[in-house]
Amino acid sequence: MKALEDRLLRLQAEFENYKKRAAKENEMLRENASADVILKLLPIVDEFELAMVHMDRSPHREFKQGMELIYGKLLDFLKREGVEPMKSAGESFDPYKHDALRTTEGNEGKIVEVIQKGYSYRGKVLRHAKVVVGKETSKKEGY
Amino acid sequence: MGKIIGVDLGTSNSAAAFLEGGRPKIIPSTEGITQYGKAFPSYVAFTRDGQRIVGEPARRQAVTNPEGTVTAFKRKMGTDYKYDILGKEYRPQELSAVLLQKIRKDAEEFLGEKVDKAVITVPAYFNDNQRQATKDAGEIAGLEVVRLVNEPTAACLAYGLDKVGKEMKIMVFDLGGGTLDVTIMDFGGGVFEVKSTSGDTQLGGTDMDRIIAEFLTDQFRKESGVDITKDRQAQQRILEGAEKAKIELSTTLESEVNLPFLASVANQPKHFVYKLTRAKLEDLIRPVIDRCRGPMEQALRDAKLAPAQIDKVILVGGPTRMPMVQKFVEDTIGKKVERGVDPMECVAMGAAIQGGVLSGEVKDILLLDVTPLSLGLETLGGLMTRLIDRNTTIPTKKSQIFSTAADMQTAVDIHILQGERPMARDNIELGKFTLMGIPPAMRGIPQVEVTFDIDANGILHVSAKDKATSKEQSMRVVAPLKMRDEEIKKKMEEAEQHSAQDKAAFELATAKNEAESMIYVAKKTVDDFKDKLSKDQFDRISAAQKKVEDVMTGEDVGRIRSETENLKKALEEVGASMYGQQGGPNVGGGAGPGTGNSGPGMGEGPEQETGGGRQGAGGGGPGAGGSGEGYERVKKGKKKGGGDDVVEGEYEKVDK
Repeated sequence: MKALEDRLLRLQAEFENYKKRAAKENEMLRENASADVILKLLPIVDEFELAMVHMDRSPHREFKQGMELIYGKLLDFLKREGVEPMKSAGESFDPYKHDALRTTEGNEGKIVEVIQKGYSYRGKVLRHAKVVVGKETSKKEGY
Repeated sequence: MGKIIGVDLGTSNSAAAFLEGGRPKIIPSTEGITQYGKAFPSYVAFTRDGQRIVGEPARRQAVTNPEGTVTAFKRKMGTDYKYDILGKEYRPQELSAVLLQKIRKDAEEFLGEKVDKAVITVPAYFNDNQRQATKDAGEIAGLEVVRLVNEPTAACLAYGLDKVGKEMKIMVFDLGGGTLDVTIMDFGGGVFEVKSTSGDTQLGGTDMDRIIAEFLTDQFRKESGVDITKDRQAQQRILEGAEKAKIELSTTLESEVNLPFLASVANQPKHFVYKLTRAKLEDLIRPVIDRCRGPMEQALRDAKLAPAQIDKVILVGGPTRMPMVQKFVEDTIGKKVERGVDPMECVAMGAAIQGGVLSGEVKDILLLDVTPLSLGLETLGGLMTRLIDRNTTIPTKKSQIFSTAADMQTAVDIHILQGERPMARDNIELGKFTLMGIPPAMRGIPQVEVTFDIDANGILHVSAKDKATSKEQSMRVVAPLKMRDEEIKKKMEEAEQHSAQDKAAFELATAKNEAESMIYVAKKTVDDFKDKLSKDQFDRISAAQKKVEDVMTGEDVGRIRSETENLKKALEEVGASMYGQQGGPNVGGGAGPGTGNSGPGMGEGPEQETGGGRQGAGGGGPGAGGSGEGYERVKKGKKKGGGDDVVEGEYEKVDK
């Protein structure tokens, strides 16, 4: 009887803990769900930016303007959702924000080149910036 | 007592799990889910300014700090090797301890309690020194290592092979990011014994990604003439595209790599669009997969077994998710692989299960039963309406309100069913009783509450109660759950096989239900508003109604639906024009009380047949015949076949 009671108590405690954990996880899941979607959207934003670079050289001014407006809308939407691009170039490398793909000659520990832009979402890193980091002493490119 | 966590301390990735209610669950890394899933890379880094970085961030900074970053130190466990990191010496177990400390911290944060005991997994081929070093690592991290478990054994535990209760030979095929381990084990008398191990320390998923990326780069060069091997940004995009395609192709046969503006020539942008098929992917990675054959054959030889003697095959590691890898293993052994547990997580999960056994938690768990098949009752048109879904943990109780199918119906039949098929006739009949003495009323008005209650012993109590008179009838079905596994499996398979056919039958029955409801409304409208209807309106309704009645005898769902829709439209027009006649300016809201208005409401009835019951019960519906409709339980098949119960007679009357 006593053993049963003990087991019941344990089970109840376990269940209480489970509920707490589940609530926390639910919260996480909800946040992650939208972050997931936005993360998948980012490569398309990247490609848009690439297109804009090419359009700079295009003679169709009106068309370019239109594309810029659409791009502006897209960025505005992301911003309102809490997505912010990181300003990485020239900053000190931080492994909690950046993903170092390689190093090159340059200011020690500073970001020399951004290969893929990083983004944050509601204050948390959504996509780490893929960067090339400067190395003063290195003679050749490390890998 | 605190929880004993299970740790998969891997060469390239590590993960941890714990037991929750008897089931293992992965503890997420605080950095969140990465490309490795819930595991994190086994990287440790020390920086010049004295910081210690572990896991994903350590990997990200590796190239900027090569002297301060280490990984794969598991390979040196149990040796005298010392890592010289920024002028300080570290033994492999000290580095493993750093990983374990992170795991411990993550676990404590996630569980909200102190964690000081762990089960850690080691490769089956680890010798005593290597095992001792792993134990030491745990101690340095403040974890008491209550047991070391072989990785393949942990995988078997995750698959519950220890519960199968018979002797067997098991092959565990573990293909990770960078290593292949093949282990053959003998299970008997509750003990897993390693018979042989083999492997390749330089073979894995990263090789596959590289090959695909190289192929795509080459393809782009052929198409555009541009060489992007030196363009870092382009290379990065190709690599990501390759990985995405590889993952997608595990579930689809074709994946599009779509990279606009990948490069430019003389200011002209070059785009890259390539449809990678699974067949092409398999062509590309075949050389990598073929290299798995040697170790598999070696392991079999060492265990002195022929492939046919292997009873179970278990896959571990991310790349084993690829259909081609699964097929390769299946073809080589001539046996289907076990499925159902995430191959990236199963080792940590198995360790957590071992932890649960040691802490006594597993034994303590009161294993709650579940209902193996859904339970429900028959409703109008021979449909099965589920009250309790399969896999619901018992004890459980569920009620729903139903109503009558015919005007002046005074009794309802409760026909209890078990199964997954949408049509009542295809399911198992558990019992039947009749609730009589319902006060005569229009169809849809009476409220009959049906309750299914399964107690902890698996005994099902079904009761039906008329809300108006509180008259109640009930029945006890003993052990509806006691089915043998094969029977359950057979039922599930049947449901699967017949799903298309069943869907058609279900659609037809639903369409006929809707048509019947609409005819009922039409008749009622004509009855109630005889004097107000013009000859033209009357003819139009009769014609539309006639058409519905004609098509209803057939099996053409599309025609039944479209004719029902026409009748509904005709009724709506009449309803609208009547409001016009009455001169009421307030037509817009559409919430009028008239019967004409109930037309669309009725039409919707059968569609919402489960959810709708509760709505109906809530009252608040429109006028006569407009609420709580659609869950009548009269059996269509019997409709013409001569009444064996009260309801049918009534039903036929209305139907004429």
